[in-house]
Amino acid sequence: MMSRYAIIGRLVLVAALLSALLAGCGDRAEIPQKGFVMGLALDEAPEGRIGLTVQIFKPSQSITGRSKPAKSYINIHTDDESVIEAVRDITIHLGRKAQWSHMRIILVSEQLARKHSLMSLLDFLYRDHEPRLTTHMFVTKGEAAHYMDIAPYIENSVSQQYFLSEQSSHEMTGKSVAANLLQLALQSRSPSAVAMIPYLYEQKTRGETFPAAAGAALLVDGRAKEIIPSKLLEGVQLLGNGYKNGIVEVPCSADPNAERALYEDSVEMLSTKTAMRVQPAGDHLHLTFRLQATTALSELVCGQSLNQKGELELRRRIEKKLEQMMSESMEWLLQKQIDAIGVGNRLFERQTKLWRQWKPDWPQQFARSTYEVHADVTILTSGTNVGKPIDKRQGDS
Amino acid sequence: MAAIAAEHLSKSLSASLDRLRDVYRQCGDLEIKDWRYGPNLKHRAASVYFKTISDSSTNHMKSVLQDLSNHMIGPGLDVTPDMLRLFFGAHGVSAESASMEREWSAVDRLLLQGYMVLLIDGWDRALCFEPKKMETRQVGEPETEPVVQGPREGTVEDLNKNIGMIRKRLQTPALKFQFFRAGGHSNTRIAYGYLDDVVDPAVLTEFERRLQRCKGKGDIIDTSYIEEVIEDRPLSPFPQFRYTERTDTAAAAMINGKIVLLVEGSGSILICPGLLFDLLQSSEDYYQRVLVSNFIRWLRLVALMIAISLPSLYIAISTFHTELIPTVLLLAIVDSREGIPFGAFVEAVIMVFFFELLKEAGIRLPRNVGSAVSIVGALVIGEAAINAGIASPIMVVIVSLTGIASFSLPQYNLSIALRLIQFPLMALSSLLGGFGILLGYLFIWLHLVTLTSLGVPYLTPIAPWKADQFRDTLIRTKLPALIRRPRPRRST
Repeated sequence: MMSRYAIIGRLVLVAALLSALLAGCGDRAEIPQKGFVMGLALDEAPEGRIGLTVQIFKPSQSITGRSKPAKSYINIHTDDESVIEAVRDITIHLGRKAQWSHMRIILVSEQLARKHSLMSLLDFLYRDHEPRLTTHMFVTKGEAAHYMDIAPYIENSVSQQYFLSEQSSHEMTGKSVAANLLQLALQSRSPSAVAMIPYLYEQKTRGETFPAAAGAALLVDGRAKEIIPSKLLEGVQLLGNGYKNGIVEVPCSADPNAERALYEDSVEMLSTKTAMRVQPAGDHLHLTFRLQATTALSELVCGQSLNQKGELELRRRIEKKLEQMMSESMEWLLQKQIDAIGVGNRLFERQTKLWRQWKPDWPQQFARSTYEVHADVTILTSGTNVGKPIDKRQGDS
Repeated sequence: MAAIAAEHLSKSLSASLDRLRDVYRQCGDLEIKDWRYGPNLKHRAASVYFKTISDSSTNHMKSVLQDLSNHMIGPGLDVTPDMLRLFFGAHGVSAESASMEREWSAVDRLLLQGYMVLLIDGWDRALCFEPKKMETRQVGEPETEPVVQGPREGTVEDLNKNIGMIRKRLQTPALKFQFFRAGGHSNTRIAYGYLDDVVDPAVLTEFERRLQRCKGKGDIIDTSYIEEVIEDRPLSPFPQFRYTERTDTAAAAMINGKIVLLVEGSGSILICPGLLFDLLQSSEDYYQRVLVSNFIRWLRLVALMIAISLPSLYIAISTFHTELIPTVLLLAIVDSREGIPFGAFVEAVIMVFFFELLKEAGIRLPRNVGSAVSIVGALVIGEAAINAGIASPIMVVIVSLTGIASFSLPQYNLSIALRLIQFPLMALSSLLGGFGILLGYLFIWLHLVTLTSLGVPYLTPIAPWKADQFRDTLIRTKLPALIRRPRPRRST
């Protein structure tokens, strides 16, 4: 039997625990009291202020959620001197507490990214407990707020669409990178101090404009410096061991002026692995890149059957193409003096003394590097039993 | 009672009948029939019985006379009281077995059990004839504990039959059954049984000590009356004993060293002590293949967690920890919550309350009306509540999942207990979020580890740890390992 004191003791304990409520700590709020931030766009505003556009999810007003409203989001614009000021101003317009935990995307206009360090711009997002460090981001061509006004195709909000296109563009095509707040911080604070943020622009095809996620903005010391076009970005990612998956087109003839359409084989890169070797060679660095790639044939139109010899030839052509891609990108990086592939990091790890010596004028030192690229390709599958073009009859070749 | 107990029957039939008419006045179903027999029909006798509980089709008077005339004396008209006295006094063989009683207390007891009492003028004894069996329910599959595979024999409301069914399953002299009467107005016959060589003597002693509480004073109608009298902590929501209506379950429990208690007139068998993990097990666990039954056991554990905490988890996550919800799901929830006037807690309480109400109505109502209630209820709780804007679809999902989970536990009284616990847990989670749930769990654990059943810790074999019993707790090892194990007395 429980004694009376034991009962009283327990009640006191419960009361003590419940009194924690009186302190008012804890951010209790029902779901309908919150506005869920889906996306954030940062622009330059007049008078040197920061223009903030917040995309907030708008639930369907009908109770059962059956009939969808035309738009399931609203955009709120506020201007202020700091991001947090502008963030607080949201409440003035919205009347609900902004909840940042499910933010899908951060868009920063190229103009603003060139002017301010992204890290200090987004300081609030790093510091506050609600936003996740895994929030993805874009640098946009032109005004970032404009991209928030574009109607989404399938998703609830265009923020979600950007988030998904960043992912898939990086993972399926290799023409974009994926970057989140954490990666931005890690890259910006690394010795190389170069970060890559995917680039969002509007593409005009047959009179229609579409948002496109391809290419990347290169941030040096947190500020945007250059935009890598998507073609070169594939090579940069191959160099930097960041390439996931994509299509590489291998021309039938080596002649650069030959007709391209339907005259090139395509291979899908299934997996790649690049080893970079950094060696000091006198007053400069010598970089060696060895790429190992597993590929699958996606289109085989150049007209040969894959017997042993033909396969070897095809492999050579793919390897050559990959080496060419990497060389072009490397040339571009050297010319722009941007170490986007982490050579500085490697030097810092392996030859710290040399790094300290070269650190002050690292971009120039990097630009003087020499390099060599090697590719080793394995063709995993041709997709058919006998690897030969579909457009061939029995007895051909 | 005491005054009657010492009383002996009188030789005079009229005096005896007067006494009976006095004691059983206003008992309209007491039948007293006068007979005359013997030469010139000058000897008197009377048969007394309750026509509501004994089978009145047999005329014992006639059969007695017939017996006598066959055995001894020829024509029935010659029978004299002396002959009867002589015959029954010498335990002569008769077609109907009768006991001879000389005290009123015994006669009263037998009369109330349905015996037919034959009083003969000039003889201070009563002949009590056992009645034919009263009609009872046929042995059928227990409705509360159906199994897919295994025996389908359930208990009935007849104590002897129930014990007989258990004895058929455990054919050993070690199976002991002790009987006693509860006294009071019901004077119910109660039996408890155990396997002498397996049961823990300490537990048995404790059990018998507590049974003293209901001896002689209680009016026991059902097994559950006794449960509350002998429980360790009647105010705990957790049941400390287990019920079954299956004789195979009772037999298996006794093999495991449990004590079973049966009450005349009730099909519920009380299995003592009932520990938490016993309550999560079903006899079918042993009838299924080992992997299957392990899967089902884990399913039940998950169901236990869901039944306790799903609504409170939802409340905590939606009001405090929205960041834990995956974005796409969150947007769906936001959509469905928009326009609901209540907070998550109020909404949950309303829905859970409606659900409980509906469940209660479904149980109490006659079966054919009950189905109507469940249809209307499903509409109200499901579709209509959403359309009316009282509740969100996600809450309906939560409440129904919780309900299903609580139904999937084999013991009904445990699932009621969980339903009780979920309300304070919901309140805590709406006040303190995840921290509140943590506190709630803490209190539940504190309660569970201090709880005992007949002095045995409730969480045995996990706390205290008993490795050999653990093999049949969260997991069930292969049956050969469980069967071959010599089952020692439990030292719990």
